[in-house]
Amino acid sequence: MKILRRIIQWTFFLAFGIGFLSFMPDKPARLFALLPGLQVFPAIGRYPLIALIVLGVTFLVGRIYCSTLCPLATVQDLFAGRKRRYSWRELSLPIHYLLPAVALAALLAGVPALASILDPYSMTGRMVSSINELVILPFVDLVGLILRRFSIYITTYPIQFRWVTITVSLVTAAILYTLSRIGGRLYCNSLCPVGALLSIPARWSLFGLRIHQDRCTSCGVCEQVCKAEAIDSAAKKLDRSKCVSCFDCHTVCRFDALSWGRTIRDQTDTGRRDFLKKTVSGSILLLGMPVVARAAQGAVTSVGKTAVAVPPGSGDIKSFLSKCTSCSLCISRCLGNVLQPAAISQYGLRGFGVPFMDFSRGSCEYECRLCSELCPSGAIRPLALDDKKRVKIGDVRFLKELCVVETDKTSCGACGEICPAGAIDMVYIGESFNGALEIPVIRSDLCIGCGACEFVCPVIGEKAIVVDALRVHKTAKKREEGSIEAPEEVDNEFAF
Amino acid sequence: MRIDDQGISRRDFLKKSGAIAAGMGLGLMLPGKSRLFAQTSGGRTAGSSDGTYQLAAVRNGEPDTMFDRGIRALGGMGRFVSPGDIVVIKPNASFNSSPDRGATTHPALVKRVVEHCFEAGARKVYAIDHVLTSNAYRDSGIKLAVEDAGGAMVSIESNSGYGKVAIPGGRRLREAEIHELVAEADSLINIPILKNHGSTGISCALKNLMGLVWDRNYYHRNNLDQCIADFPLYRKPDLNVVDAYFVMVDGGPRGRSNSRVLNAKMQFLSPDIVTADAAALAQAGQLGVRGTGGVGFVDRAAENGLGISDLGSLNIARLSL
Repeated sequence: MKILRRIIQWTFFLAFGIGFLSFMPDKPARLFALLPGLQVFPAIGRYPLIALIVLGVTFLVGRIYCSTLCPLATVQDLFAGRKRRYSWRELSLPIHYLLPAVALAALLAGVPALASILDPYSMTGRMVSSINELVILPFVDLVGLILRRFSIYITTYPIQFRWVTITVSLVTAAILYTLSRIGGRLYCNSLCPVGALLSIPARWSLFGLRIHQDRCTSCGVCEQVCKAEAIDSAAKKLDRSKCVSCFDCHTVCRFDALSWGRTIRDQTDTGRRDFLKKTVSGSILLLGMPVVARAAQGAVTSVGKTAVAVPPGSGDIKSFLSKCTSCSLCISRCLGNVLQPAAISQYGLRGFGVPFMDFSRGSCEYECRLCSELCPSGAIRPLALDDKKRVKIGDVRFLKELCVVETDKTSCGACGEICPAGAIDMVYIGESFNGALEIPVIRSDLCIGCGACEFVCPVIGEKAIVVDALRVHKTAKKREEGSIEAPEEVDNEFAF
Repeated sequence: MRIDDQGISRRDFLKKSGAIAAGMGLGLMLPGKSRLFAQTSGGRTAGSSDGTYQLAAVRNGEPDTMFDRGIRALGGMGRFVSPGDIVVIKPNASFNSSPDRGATTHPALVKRVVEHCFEAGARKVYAIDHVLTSNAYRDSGIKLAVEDAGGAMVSIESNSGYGKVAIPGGRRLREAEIHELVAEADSLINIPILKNHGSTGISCALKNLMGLVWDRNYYHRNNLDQCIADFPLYRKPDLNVVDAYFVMVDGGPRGRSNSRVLNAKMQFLSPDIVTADAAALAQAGQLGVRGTGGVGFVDRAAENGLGISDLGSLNIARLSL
């Protein structure tokens, strides 16, 4: 059973990881969106049904999610290393259930910051993104270098070093490593909000691991290897609310006293202290939401002095911030390289790691809507491509006095040639020693704020054309162009 | 490090670049690959003394059939590609636009050129363009065309594989970062699209070479026309094939959905880049392409001694299919 579990777990993890690699093709997006979309915490914001289904499955078969779909499980098991006997026993932290409960309450109230820190999916997403940047892209570069010797030219990618994501990932990894070494899946039963949530239906699950009273000799080996402290060997009891279905116990039992199957009621008694803990946390969740929401209002509205642009599909900054768990999937896959993790000045402290559109590093690709197709939390909602092309996330502003055409009297037109919405007309303003001079004239009503103009403007320092972000997205007009005509037949006598 | 009229050997180039540094895209100075004929003043065209045509103008065929006819008039592909050559072709793949919009080189022409290269005995054919949009190679159809013919499309996302070269005699462009293939290729074939361009008037053979450099911004802020005219001082293409099958009249270089596109069914071939552009410019003016009145870079290039712009002095093959 353990081998089966590990195969499934690693298959999911690798599939998950591949979806985060920045150079993966953009089609088929739905395939890459599948695994993130099944993750519980993001699903709460986007497709609550998925979260309910996972809860239902857990009621049926216990916390198998915790050793198959959950990507952080693989990370923890990797950190924990080979099967060991865990000598630390009473490691349930006093914050068990409380911290996850607060995180969930805050998420539902529109402040995902705590949830994003604790959410296993988002944590893994950030770590995989960091691996992509620190390990995989440089490796691809090295491979490219070697292959060039043999006249084979593969695509290599610039290495960006997004320090925000990397720092968070390193700190998280360090903490997880410590927790995994001392207690296996310590995180799963003390900090993980998904674990806390799933432990409730798991307690009464219809199927699961159980100890055969007649065969068990209370030797205690299973209790020692159990990563989740779910086994009380003396009492011959297995607490399914804590069991993460890793099957390590199943592998070591010499008496064949552990099996997975239909469960028996009497093994679910977890004691009054535990029950009290859960009641208190549950109440906090229900009653505390309004309180958390009120406290969160202050955090939500203070979004930093200058608005930063948020991707098409997010609607407005507030709703974007209320859903995003900064998993970094969109940042990693952004075709235009414009989505970058914020530090503190963009959204305040609570927005640390949340993506924003950084027009100094890229621009929003016109024919792309990948982030909206991939986002599992509903922070960026899926859009049809034609609709996306009219979403106005910012407004263009031209500073003529900085423009090369004005200052040097030479041609440029970098903005004009790149604008995909046709919002920049190059208008004749006179002759230079090189011929006709044309300067940009912008049409605000057509501008979608993609930032291509700002990104390509060659002026060093303050750019001559910039995009001012809109806090609430609008709709741009489509350039009245009529339908595409077929190429015209023409008289083609040679001109010379 | 040897420099002869063939340029430096590949091994010398690699030794000089240094392994790791090149890999990290640090853009070291490539050894000066001075090609003797690039520095001749007054323009040099191949075979002007033996009666071969310096310019082939073809019309009323398809992009591939016109190329077949045109290259024959110029003396055959063997004049530009020798057996065992490494060839680099430079199409215009800049936008993810279908060929009938006239923003990119027609894939059928690109494919035919690659096929001719192999027929002439080329060992490898690479296509390269530093494009302006994601997936432009794919959506312009050029990637498939190149690969179908047995060539390889070099995709540019970072500047690894690039190195700095000096531009001897450049008035504004003194150095540029180019891909090592462009420095090393035995033959460089330029396959521009002829179209209107919002900042340079038209885009054609000279403008097309801008896609070979890494830092396009340098051109834009340092007199675009002059930089365009300076680059070929480093290396002139051995052959220029101007695609005027679908010609974008206005709204270039990207084109709008209501841009007028003419099905002009023409093609101009010349080993002289200035001649190719002078011919294209004249034809574009006659076809009514916008912007032909204010083009500066052709004269600048002629001043740099890069070729002959006076069409009246040349042997021109005018071919109708």
